[in-house]
Amino acid sequence: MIYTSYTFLVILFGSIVIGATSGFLSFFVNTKKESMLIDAVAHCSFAGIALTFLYVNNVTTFHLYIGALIAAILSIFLIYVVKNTSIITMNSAIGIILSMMFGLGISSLSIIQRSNPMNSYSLKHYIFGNILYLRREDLVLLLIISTITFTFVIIFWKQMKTILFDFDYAKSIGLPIRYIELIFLFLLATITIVSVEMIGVIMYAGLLIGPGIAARQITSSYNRVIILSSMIGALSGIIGSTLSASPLSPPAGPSIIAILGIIVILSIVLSRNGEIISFIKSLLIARNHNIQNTLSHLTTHMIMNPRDCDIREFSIKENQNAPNCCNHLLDNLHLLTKLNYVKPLEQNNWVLTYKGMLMVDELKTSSQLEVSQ
Amino acid sequence: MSFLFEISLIVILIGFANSSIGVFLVLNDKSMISFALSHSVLLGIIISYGIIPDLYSPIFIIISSIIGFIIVGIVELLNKVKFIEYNSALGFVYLTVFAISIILISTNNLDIYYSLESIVSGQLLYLPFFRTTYLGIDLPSIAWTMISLIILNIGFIILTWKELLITSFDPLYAQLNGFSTQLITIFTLLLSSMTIVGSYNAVGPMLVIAFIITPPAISFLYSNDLKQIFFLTFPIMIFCSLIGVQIAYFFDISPAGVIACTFGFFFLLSLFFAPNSNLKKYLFSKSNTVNMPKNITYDHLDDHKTTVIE
Repeated sequence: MIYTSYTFLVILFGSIVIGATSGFLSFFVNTKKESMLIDAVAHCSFAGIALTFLYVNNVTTFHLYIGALIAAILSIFLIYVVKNTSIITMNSAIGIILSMMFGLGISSLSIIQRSNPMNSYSLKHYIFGNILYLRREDLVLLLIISTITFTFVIIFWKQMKTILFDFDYAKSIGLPIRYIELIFLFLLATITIVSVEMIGVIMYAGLLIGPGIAARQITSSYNRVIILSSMIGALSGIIGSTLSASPLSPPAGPSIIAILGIIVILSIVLSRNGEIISFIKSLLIARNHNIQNTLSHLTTHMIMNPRDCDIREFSIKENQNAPNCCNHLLDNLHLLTKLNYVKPLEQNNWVLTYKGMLMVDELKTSSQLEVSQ
Repeated sequence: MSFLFEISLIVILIGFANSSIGVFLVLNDKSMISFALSHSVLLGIIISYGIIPDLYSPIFIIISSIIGFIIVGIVELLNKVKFIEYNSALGFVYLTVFAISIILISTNNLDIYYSLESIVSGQLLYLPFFRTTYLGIDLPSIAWTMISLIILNIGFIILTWKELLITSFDPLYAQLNGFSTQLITIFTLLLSSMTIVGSYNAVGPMLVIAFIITPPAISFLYSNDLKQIFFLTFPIMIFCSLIGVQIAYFFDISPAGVIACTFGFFFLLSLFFAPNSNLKKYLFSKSNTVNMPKNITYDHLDDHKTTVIE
C-alpha cells in the first residue's frame, strides 16, 4: 500500500527529477574531469549546512540552501587558489580543502549535538541522506532549478559541444568560454546542494559520475549519450527510492548509488563495443579460424594429390627444417580431435571422422568452385 | 596518565603513521587513490569483522587492508575499458563500494560502530577505554597498533629510500635499471591501506585524509629537498594536532573534526608565507603583469643598440 501513497509518489517524483538532472550533466562532468571537484563540493556543502544550523535561529530550508551554496562556492574558489598559486597538485588540493571543510562540519555537528539535540538529529540526515525529508516546497525548488539547468544546457547545446571537443577552435571563434564554464559550475553547485538533502553529502557525486560512464559505454553519439544518461539517472532514482521504501529500508542515497553501480557494471559487460564482449568474440573468431585453416590445408593436399583423395587416413612426418610448424599443426589437430573432426591412431597417424569428411567435402567443393572461377 | 594526554598521544601516533607514508602519496600525485582507499576499506572491515571480531588484531588489519587494496585495483581494471576517465572510475568505484558497505551495516545491525554517523566522524573519545598491557606498559590498544604500523612504515621507507626516490622522480631510469616501480607503488599503497584501517576507528574516512595529505602538503610548501620535507612533516603534524586537541578540549567539541580543521587552516596560512607559493605575489603585486610590455619594449630596444636608425 505504501507504493500508492501520496508521500511515496512525491518522493518518487523527486528522485526521478534529481536522477534525470544529474544524469543530464554527468557526461559533461566526466569529460571535463571535474568528478573529484564535484565530490569535494558535495562534501564541503555539509560545512555550510552545519554552520547555518549553528548560527541561524529559526532555520528554514531556504537558509540551509544559501549556507550550502556559499560553502560550495568558497570551496571551489579555495581549491583553484591552492592549485594556481602553489606547487600542490589539483588532487591534493581537493583532498586538503575537502577534509578541512568536512572537519568543520563535523565539529559544528558536535556543538549542535551538545546544545540542541533535535537540530542535530535533523542535521545528521544530510550525511547519508533521508528521502523522507523531501516535501512539496523542496520539490518545487528542485523543479525550478532543474528547469533552469535543462534550459541553459539546451540553449548552449552547440557551444558546450564545441568547448568539450575542440577547445582551441572554441577559443578562436571567440566563444565566452570562461562565462559558460563558470555558469555551468554554478548550476552544478546549485543542483548538488538541492540534492544532498535526499542523497547525502557523501554519495551525491556518484549520481553525477555513474550515468555518464554507463551511457558512454552503450552509445557514441553526443546527443544520444546525454539523453540516455539522463534516463539511466532517472531509472536508478526510481529503483533506489522504491528499495528504500521497502521493509528492509536501507538509506536512500546508498541504495540509489548501489543500483547505479549495478547498471554501470551491466553496461560495461553487455555493451556492443565493450571490452569483454569483443574479447570473447576475438577468441571465438581465432578458434574458428584455426579449425578452418587446418581443414582447408588438408583439403588442398587432397586436391593436389587425387590418388589419396579417397583415403581418409593421413600421417604427419616431422619436417627437419621447420619443427615449430609441425607443433602448430599438432596443436590444431588436437583441437580438431576435441571437436570430433579427426581421430588419432597410433604413431602420428590420423583419420577423418564422418563429421570431418562432411566438412572437408564442403570445403573441397567451395575451393574447387574458387579454382574454376 | 590523564585522559587528555592519552588522546593527544593517540592523535600524534595516528598522524605519524599516516603522514610518513603520505609524503610519497602526495609526491606521486596519488592523494585521490588514498581517498578511494579510505572509503573502500570499510567493506574490508565489514568482511573481516565476520572472520575475526577483534578490531586490533593484526590479521584483521591485514585482511581488510588487502580487500580495500583489491577494490582500488578494480579501478586500474576499469581504466583499461574504453571511454572511462581515470578520475571518474576512481570516484565511482569507491562511492559504490562505500554505498554497499553502508547498506550492509544499516540493514544487518552490525555492532562495529555505535551509529552510522560515527563511521564518518570517528570515535576518538571512546578509544582510551579499550586497553592492552604489553611489556608492562598500559596503553590504549590503538596506540600499540599505531606503534607497530609506524615501525613498519618507517622501516619500509628507510629500507627502500633510494628506490622510492627513483620511482618518484625518474621511473624510466628505474625501468632501465631493472627494478619494478609498480612493486614499490603496490607496497606503498598496501602500507597506506593498513595504516588507514588501523586508524579508521579513531578518525573516519574523510578526516584520515587530513592526516595523510595535509602535513606533507604543508612541508612541500616550505622546502624543495625530499629529506627536509620528510623531516619537516612531523613537527608540523605534532604542532597542529596538539593545538587541535587543546581547542577541542577547551570548547568541548569532537577532536577529529577540529584537528582536520586546524591542519587545513595551517595549510591556508602557510600559503601566504611559504617560499613555494606565490599567493602573496598574486595578490599584492600586479607590477609583473603591468611592467611586462614595458620591459619587453626595453629589451627590444636594447637589442637595437648597435643599429643605426636613419
